[in-house]
Amino acid sequence: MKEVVRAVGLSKRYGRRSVLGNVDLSLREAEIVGLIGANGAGKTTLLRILLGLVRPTTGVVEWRGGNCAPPPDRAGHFGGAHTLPPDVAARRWARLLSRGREICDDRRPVRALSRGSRQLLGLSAELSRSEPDAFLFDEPWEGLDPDGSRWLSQTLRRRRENGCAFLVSSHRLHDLAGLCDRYAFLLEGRVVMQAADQISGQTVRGDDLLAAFDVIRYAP
Amino acid sequence: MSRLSALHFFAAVARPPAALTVVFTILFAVGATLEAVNRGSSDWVLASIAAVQLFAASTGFTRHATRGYYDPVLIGRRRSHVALAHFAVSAAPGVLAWLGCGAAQAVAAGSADVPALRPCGWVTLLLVSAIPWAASVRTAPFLGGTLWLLLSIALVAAGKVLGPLGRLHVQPAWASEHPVRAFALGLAFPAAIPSFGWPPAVLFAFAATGAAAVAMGALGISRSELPLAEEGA
Repeated sequence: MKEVVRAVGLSKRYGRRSVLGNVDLSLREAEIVGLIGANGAGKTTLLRILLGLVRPTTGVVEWRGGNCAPPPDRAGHFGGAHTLPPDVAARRWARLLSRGREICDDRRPVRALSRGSRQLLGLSAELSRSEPDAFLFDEPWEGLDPDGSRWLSQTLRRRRENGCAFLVSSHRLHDLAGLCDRYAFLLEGRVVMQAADQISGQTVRGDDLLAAFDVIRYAP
Repeated sequence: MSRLSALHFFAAVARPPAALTVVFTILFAVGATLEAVNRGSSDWVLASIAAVQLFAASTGFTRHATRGYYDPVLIGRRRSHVALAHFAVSAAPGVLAWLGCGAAQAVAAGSADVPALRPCGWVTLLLVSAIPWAASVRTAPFLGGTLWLLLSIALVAAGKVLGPLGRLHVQPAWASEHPVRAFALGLAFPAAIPSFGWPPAVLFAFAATGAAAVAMGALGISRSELPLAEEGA
């Protein structure tokens, strides 16, 4: 499978605070990579560097074609319910992102929606787009009810079959388990990548991910 | 599937507050009515539109962008294009009100040679749109307009503005004799620019200042780091 995006030697410092250090990561066509890390490990920063919204202190990002940012409209991103503009009507946001398709008929402003509804609105608007070949999602299961969680997992699988690549950061290991082809463990600013079959010979479960996370975390 | 238009996006997400749009609508209605009743009586409405535009165009960029609100339009786009679209949307309500008043003046006068549509009107519109917008790109919304208005009030209170404006009124050649002071006077009190005659060099300096402000704002957006605000960076 061809690489959609590759990051080599990424580091990021804010003043004296180091957020990322020497991170290598790749995302290939038709795969889902789960990004796992503790709070403050730099997952959001890493996603925003890959998207060209934050400049790395060192290192390079290469999207398909050699650009340091994704080609226009070829990458989708959703950073969570809090990143939706609160004063825009839900219906208008959905139409805007889905380029005019009617995927939501709620005329209330985003701020009037519950957290779960906002999360679902942002995800469904992004995933209704057909042109991106890569999606970078930050905590996409956050706030979703069981039906929403199932819909999201099924949609990711379906889009993967069509060749889409996903980089998905999440704390919810049981949602990532069994879904991802590879896992990227972000620990103290560095990334350790493992294929699913390295973690478990069977279908990966949440406990397997937790065990793998602990092994990497406490490895000498 | 069509590409997401930055103009379309900002028109939905980054419009100036509705209250300011209502004020512009009222000012346009007052201006048009005054021109219909008494030709040439709406100059003060232009000055009011310019004053309100100081705030309306100060929409702010980075504060919203670091909350992730603009992510869909920033990813994979040239920031300079995004910046120009943001400027256009920020300035649009004031520009429309100004053009509406200009049209009313032109209809009443039977000519396009009216204050709103003369070069001095266009440069006023550019200045009061571009400088507050650029000043608020990396700061808080309304900050650019607030600072400019406070500066104007302070200069008026200090007696630095009304005297020169009076001289300009009775002696239009004063601006040609003192172009630098005339330029500073216009910048200090832009709402008065359409009411006076200005030499071409000063008008050019106003236009260049406005264009430089747009360029500075676009540069500020192009160079901005946009981590999410919650990252504490």
